Amino acid sequence: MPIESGNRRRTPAEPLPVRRKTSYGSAGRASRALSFSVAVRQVFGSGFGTGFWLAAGWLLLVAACALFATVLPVRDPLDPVIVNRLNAPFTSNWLGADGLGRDMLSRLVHGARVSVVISLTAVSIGMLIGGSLGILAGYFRGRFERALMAVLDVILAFPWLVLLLALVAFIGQSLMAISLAIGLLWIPAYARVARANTLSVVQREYVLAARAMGASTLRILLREVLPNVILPVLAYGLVAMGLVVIVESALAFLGLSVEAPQPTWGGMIAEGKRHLAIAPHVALVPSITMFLTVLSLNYVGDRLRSRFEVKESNL
Amino acid sequence: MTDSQHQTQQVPLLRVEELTVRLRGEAGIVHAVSDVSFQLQRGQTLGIVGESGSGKSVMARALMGLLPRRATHLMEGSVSLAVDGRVLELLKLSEREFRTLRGPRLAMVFQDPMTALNPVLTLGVQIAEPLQLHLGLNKAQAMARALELLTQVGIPDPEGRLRQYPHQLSGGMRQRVVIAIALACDPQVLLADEPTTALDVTVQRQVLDLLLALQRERQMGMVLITHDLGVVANRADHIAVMYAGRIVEYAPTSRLFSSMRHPYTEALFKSVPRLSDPSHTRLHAIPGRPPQLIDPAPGCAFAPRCPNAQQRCRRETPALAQIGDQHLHACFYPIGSKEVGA
Repeated sequence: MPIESGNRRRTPAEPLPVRRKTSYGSAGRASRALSFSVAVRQVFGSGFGTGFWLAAGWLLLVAACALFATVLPVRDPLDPVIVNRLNAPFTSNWLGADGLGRDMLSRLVHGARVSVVISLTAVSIGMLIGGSLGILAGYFRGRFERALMAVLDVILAFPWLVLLLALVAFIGQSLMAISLAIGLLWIPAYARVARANTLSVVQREYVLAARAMGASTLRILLREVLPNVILPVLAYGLVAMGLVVIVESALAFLGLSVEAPQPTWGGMIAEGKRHLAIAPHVALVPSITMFLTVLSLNYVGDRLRSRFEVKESNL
Repeated sequence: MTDSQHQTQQVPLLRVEELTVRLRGEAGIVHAVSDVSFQLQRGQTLGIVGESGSGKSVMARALMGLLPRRATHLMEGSVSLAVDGRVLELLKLSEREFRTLRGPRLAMVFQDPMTALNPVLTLGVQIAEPLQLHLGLNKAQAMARALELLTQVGIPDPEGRLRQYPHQLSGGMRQRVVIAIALACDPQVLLADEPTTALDVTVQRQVLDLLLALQRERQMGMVLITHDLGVVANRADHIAVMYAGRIVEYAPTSRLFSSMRHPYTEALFKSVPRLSDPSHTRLHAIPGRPPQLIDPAPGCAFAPRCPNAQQRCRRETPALAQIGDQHLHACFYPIGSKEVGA
């Protein structure tokens, strides 16, 4: 077909430069003459700032640790070396050793696995179930919406830790069980975000226009509503992951997360509690790691959200 | 002319009879459309004129079956559409049956091109989708047709535009795309609900002329809804003036402008500023506001704002009466009648 060839000709040349140009303009920083920063921006896009990239870098590092924990050149996280007991950081153990003489760095790296898996799974569960419910409620309104919102309000009002304890007692302490339990806890929040965004999208004329062209309800939900709701919902995901990391470690601190000896950050902090007076680093090192991770998640999530937020002017 | 065409007794393309729509509002039942009747022939344009809140858009949506069922308190009357020699009663169709008509039979152009296009889909996809859905074209065929449509609505560089997103186009261009989408499946009836209200004056004219040219070329029946008499003046074959959900005057365009009878039509006409007026001429405004349509008071809805209103107007609602060839109005004391004087 003639259009096809026309499109292909255009693809590499036109759309990309146009987009870059406008994003420079809006950031208003194009005047900076440093060719290096210009080059960096051409690769990464502009306007995010150094803090964003530091935070994103940290998250990448954590993700890499989780992914490659078994092949990284760290010691065995479960191997107690009694002579290293409560070693301070920067001795024979880079980040010190815990009360049983296990290497903290190695335990952090392996603990990252738990945090990453649980936060990803839990947020996905919440996003999938809560998001779908929220979109349906926002689109169909009526009795379904009222019933759903009432149920969600009840769940939100219930003390989450108690709910979590009950769930964990019921479905067990495996990695998947914990993810599922925390994921269920996220359904109400996601349903609300998705519903609120759906409500504003449904009022737009293009939804009515799609109906006026004979689109079915399913098609409208999938083609008109979902693509416009998914970005704000996804952007909320990173912030939610930060909270999941904290929730998981709270469970671990109570000894109710993934069972020992599997290292988790929360479990490490709980362990360090006993040695706080003589070896504070045992609790501090995992605390700082967690702090940095959650901070990065929030920071990156916030930045992405403000960038992808559906603005009136873009519609 | 149009009159002689009209007299050849053909089945009208769209016939609306005593359409009445009541909506559930927060404060009560809204009498949005009352007893509206009109006919539309193939290749004709009907202009529907009235202030905001006169029920024009609700009527258009009712014709398209787009009013939310939850909010519809009552929908009465009859809307029949001639389809391939058969006559379909639209108000009796199920949602599923109605859906197959939207696009290939009935289509609608919306008021605000800024929100009528999905911001996350390319224009090509948005034009091609109804084609794939209704005409069963494959993607390549649909895209080829989309390209054709964009060319027809006068968009420069249509190939490039196919891959663009709505925010990359100006308002006028977007409205052209909205028109292209509406025309994609070759509808028999096109409802244009204030298609140019959101556009610049200079662009307005271009878009209206485009709509009219396409309507003539395809011999569609078109309902052109507007609040501006000037918009329909030399574009519509017939004009229906709506006030408070009712048609108050209906006539062939030339006849309406030469001998309008309803005081509301005259008031609308006078409120169009004219270039020929000397500068600093006071702009004519209609005093007061359109009535609220929740629990309307008895009597003519225009009476409180009408210069000719008398006792009777506040008690009885005037019916739409024929006063000449295809000229109807609903007024006890129309312009030029004895009781009012000149």
